[in-house]
Amino acid sequence: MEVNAKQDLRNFLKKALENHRDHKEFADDESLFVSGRLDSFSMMTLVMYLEEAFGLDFSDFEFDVNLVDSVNAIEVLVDAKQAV
Amino acid sequence: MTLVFEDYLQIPSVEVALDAFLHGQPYPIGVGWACLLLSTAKYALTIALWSALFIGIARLAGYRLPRGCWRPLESRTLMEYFNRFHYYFKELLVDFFFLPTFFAVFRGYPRLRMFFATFMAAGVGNALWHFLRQIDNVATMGLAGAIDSFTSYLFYCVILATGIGISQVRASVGIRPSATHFGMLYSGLCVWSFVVCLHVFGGESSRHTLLDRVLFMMSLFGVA
Repeated sequence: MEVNAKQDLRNFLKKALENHRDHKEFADDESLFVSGRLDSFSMMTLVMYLEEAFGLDFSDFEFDVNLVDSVNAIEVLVDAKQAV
Repeated sequence: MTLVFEDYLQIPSVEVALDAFLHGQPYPIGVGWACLLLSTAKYALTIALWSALFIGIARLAGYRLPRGCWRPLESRTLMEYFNRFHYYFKELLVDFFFLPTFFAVFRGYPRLRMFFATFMAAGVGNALWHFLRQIDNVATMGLAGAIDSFTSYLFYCVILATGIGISQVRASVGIRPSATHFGMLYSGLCVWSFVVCLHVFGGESSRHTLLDRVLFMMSLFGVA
């Protein structure tokens, strides 16, 4: 994932957290969904963002929250799908 | 809570107020609204109590569950209310209804996709859950009777799901309540007014039909 794209992703997640009135910083390896900081509806807006920004098709594989649980996990997912 | 609300405060439940209305001896409008407000409060406190109990037991057992009923009075949108009020019931509906729908249909239409998936979870999933919970009604009333007695709750689910769906779509396009104190108060009041009014239809008692409840609701506004 390119640096700019990663920063855009971080900005998207930061805004999602702020919408949940969570203004704490988050690390790239920090759990966002399993930890409960973001909920399932935020997950779906993230899925739509990833579909649009990176052309991912989530119907291609079994969806699991751990695939998008942190910035690092999303980066791995995007890189793997773009390499195919 | 029944002891406090009904025995000490002498404020009857909505079902009792409904019975009185249907027997031609309605309570004054103010008392009717008090019944509705306190019944909603009692329901919210019951959910909060049980949620806290389950979350507490799970945490004692070592599971890191984040929340059950989490400050629902702070909700500024219906979507937020649904998220906060009954977190794990909502998560259950999301897993079994929202996600499969979301990944399956209307992929080219983001707003419709979000609305429809939300409707399937908060409406269809919610209704199915509650219908199956009272499946013994099918044995005692027959299928037609059980469905007939469920129409009010079905109406409740449809209206709730439509409201949450619209709220979800509005949030996804960036429409959010004002962050001023007045804006927060106003949006909170709107959310809870909706919840209180809808509570008339959310009773799982099969004694009152949808029409009975609509007429009772109209009477609270002085119409019927």
